Amino acid sequence: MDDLPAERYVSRTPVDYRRFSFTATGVSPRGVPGFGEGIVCVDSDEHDEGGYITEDSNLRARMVDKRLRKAAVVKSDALPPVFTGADGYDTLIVGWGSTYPAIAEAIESIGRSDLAHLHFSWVYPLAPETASYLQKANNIIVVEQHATGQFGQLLTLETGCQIVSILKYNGLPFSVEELVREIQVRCRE
Amino acid sequence: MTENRFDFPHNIDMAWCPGCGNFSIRRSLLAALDDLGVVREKVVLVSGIGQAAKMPQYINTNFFNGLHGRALPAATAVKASNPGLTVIAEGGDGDMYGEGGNHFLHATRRNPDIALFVHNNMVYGLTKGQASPTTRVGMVTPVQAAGVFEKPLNPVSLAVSLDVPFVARASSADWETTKEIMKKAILHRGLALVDIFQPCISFNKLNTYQWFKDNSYYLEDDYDSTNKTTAYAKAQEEFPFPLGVIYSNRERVPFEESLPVYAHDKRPLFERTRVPEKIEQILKSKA
Repeated sequence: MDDLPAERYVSRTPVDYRRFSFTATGVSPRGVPGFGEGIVCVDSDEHDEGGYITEDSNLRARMVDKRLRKAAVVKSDALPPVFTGADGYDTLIVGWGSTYPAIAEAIESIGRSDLAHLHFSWVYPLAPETASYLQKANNIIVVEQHATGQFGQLLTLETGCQIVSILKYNGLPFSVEELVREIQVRCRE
Repeated sequence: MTENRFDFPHNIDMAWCPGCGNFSIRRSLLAALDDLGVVREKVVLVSGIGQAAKMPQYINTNFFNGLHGRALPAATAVKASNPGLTVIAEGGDGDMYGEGGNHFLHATRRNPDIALFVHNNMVYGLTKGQASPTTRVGMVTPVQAAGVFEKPLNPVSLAVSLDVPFVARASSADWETTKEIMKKAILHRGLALVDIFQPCISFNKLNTYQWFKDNSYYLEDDYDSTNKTTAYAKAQEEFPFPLGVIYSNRERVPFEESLPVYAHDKRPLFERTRVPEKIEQILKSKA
């Protein structure tokens, strides 16, 4: 923690401060009330650069474009998934969130060197390196505590890779034993 | 009229109907803020959704206009993160007592030093005339086609019963007295509710200017607002409804003054930086 610099994101407002000023990245300098000579105006409805409600359709489109530019910055900042295993893997087991320890233990107890583990603690937007991990595998198994396998669908949508799912949605977490069994069934397919 | 520091130097396009009581309430608010001499850059107006909740758009100061019924939690956070700001939460009877009813109840418990101005026109005006929590029994609306049968809320008696430290009722028909009540509310330490009678000339044909005039009166000059028992009795009076400061209590400690984060450091949160050594000390002390 000591090597993390304390970054300051709040800036003193100039007298003509506008909370939603247009910028190249879509990110506007952040002011707070009471810090500087400007005022900070924020609205939940579509607004102009100053925060005032607008029904101008051209301005609306420019504000949507601004937010999409900001989304691209968020994507470039996304945390990459954590890869565990050897290069040249055949089957990639993908998980996210609380399934990490059960999947890790299941892979260890199966003991095959062609199995690798890719874990996401940040699920959207996907980090840019996601596709290359998936494309190296012949077989992608996505483990999810979910009825329809939404994360697997997202991976296919964003990377074009086909996946198979191991889903559990009876209210209980995965056990290591059932993951060993389910992974082995899908590895034989 | 001299220039008001909280008005805009240019014309603004306001969404209210000609003749709406909101114009008068805006006049009171502009004058109250200017009279008090508060620094424009240190005032924050917070609102939810509705015609009344558009007020911050039309006052030249900081604002946060968020979600329907959610003015009070955002306003509480603004005050808690920088107690040096003058914070006003504003909206209508539907927004504050309907969608925001739960937040209103809990704001009375927390008691942040916020002035709460509620435009009470007894109808949902923005959405064209559905019954609100203060709509009178019997009023026919496009939705309540057989007439309203639920008992209307009396926000003033509710607030007194919950010991809100400043409770008043005002009328948009009298902008000058409303201005004076707003000033007292802003200066009062703790949550200060001003329920403001206001006609909706487009969607409430029952509670008109004349109706409010016929059914309200100002409290006598010698009325004692500091006695909770008599204040509660006064707050429950209806037909006619008393106007003025109905209850005031100077004893309750505001929310932000009880927060440990200010016990040894009065600086607002945005002025502070992360101190890793302190975090490590805390972690070690819990180990």
